[in-house]
Amino acid sequence: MRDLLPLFAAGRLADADRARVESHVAGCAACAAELGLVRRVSRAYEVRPVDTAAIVARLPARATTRRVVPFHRQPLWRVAASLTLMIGAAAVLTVARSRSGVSTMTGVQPAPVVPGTATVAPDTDARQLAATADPHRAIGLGVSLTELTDAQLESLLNALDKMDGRVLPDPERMSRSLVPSGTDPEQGRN
Amino acid sequence: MSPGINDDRAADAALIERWKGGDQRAATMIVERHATALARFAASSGVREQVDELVQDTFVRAFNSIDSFRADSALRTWLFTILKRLILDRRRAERRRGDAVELEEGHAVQAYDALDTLVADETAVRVRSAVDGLSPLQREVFLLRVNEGMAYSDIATVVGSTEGACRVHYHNAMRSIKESLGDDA
Repeated sequence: MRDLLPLFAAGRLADADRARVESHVAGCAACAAELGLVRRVSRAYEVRPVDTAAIVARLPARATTRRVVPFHRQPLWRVAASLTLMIGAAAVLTVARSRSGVSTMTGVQPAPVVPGTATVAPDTDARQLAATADPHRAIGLGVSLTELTDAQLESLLNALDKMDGRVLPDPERMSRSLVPSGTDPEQGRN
Repeated sequence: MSPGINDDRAADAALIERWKGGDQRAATMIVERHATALARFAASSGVREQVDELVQDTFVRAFNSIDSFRADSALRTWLFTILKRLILDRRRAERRRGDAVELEEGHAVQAYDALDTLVADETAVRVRSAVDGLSPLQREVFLLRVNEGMAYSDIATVVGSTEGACRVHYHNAMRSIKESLGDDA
């Protein structure tokens, strides 16, 4: 019964229990004294009223608490975006490499021509590209792989196979490739 | 558990559902049901200033994550748990700031006791002094039981202990308080 005294004092008992405690306390001095102590403790810890209006004013509106997953964070979208990026990157790489008789890749500058050595005409890029034209060169960005014909795909794969063994653009090598055969670019430095 | 406490849970659960349905008055009712109890818990836990702000922060945090609240526990218990975390966070921040102030200015920060201004009579001071003599865990369990009429299972959740241990802590605390105050009960 003593265990129920704090709940009785706090008004947290249902009617039946409250009546039972009341009846007991009326005839039990020890429980009546303990109930008195419980009430003294409660009074000792009273606080000033809380400004509930101020609290409510700071609460979020229900609409803002719904957890809405942004479109760009939805799993399916993220997978699709990743695939698109990968395919796009592969396409850019393929096209760039296919034109890399002279580097035209974004961010890769043509190697400087050593002064005093052979000169290269400004339109070298165009001429070299024309000379090495391949069927797959027609494949441009924005064309989906699924839209290619079997012949185009085969051509693309062949081109990729050849590129696998190729060394990445190296300024030193590229400068040599620009120099007409029989001319040593190192001579110009001496 | 007593049916009275179950009734409280059902009432809170209904209010939460109403608020989720867009009824802002339900939020007001929830705050009115629990704000004072939270303020009392904060003050009795030794929070000396900006108790209201702490209670506000508790409600804001609770309403922002109300979807994570599980109705199998009492809303008040959940609110107390949030408040307790906020109190601990504030204490850590105050300790850091206090150290800095002492180092920089060489004097202690004057504290304001929210309880002193309200209950300054001798009886209250004696009672609080007796309660202060309890261990921190005993004090927390005792005050949650006496001030809020919380079930031992809910107290256990708030203080991070077991129901049985809380029961023992309460009875030991009650005996200690009686001895301190010279009560025969």
